[in-house]
Amino acid sequence: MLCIAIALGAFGQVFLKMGLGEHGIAAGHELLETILNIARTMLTPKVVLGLALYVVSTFFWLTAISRVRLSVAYPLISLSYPLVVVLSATILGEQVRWPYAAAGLAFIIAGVSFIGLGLGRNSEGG
Amino acid sequence: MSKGLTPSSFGLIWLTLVVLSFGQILIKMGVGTQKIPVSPNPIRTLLNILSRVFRPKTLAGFFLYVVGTFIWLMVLSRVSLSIAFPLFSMSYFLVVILSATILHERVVWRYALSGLVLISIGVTFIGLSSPPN
Repeated sequence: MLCIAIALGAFGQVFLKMGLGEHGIAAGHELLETILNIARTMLTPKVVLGLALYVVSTFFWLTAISRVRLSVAYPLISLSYPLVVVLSATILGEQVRWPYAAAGLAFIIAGVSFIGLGLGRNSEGG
Repeated sequence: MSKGLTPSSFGLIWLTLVVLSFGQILIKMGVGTQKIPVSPNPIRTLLNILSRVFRPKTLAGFFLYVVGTFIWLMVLSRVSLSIAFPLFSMSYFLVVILSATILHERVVWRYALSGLVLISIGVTFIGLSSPPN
């Protein structure tokens, strides 16, 4: 459940970036103007798709955190970074220095494993 | 469009971290610790989830999330994903500390801190995986 939430979130992030890259957001002179610019950008198809993936990801997330402590579940979101890097390289065509990405993935997996040890036998929230 | 990190976007990222972390805590408070029942019927499951969503604390948490997302969208339009994301690793420390203090979750600190430090190193490497410029 956590994994699905994280994967959907990562794809959502990439679609958001695709939509934002096309249009960008101009910061206005006034806050209201900026908010309107953001709202306008949020209505472009890819940003809408990205946000929709976020909503679905949120449903999975809520179900997950009703079962697991937040202090354990939340750090697992870091697994989405390596995923976002791979998606950024393949879908967005961003350049990636793979040795660093691989080292990052290794450290994150090690860290997440330590977080998992904190679960103990009792995985109930509390 | 500048992709580098400026003081103002650095400040925006920190604001996002704080707003989203408190949002996450409120959402967890609203959802509670009783497992959301998952039924073979997806509609039933969705209704089960929504019944936890329409609670004051969950809604307040989501409100903070919307505010945080607006700020985050501004950050993403100014800074490359590979710079903005690593700074986000600070939110793990923040959420774990808030979970322990506000939610009174049992945190095994020697595992939690080791894990968080390793995750931060990993996330920094992820940031370095984006070539300069």
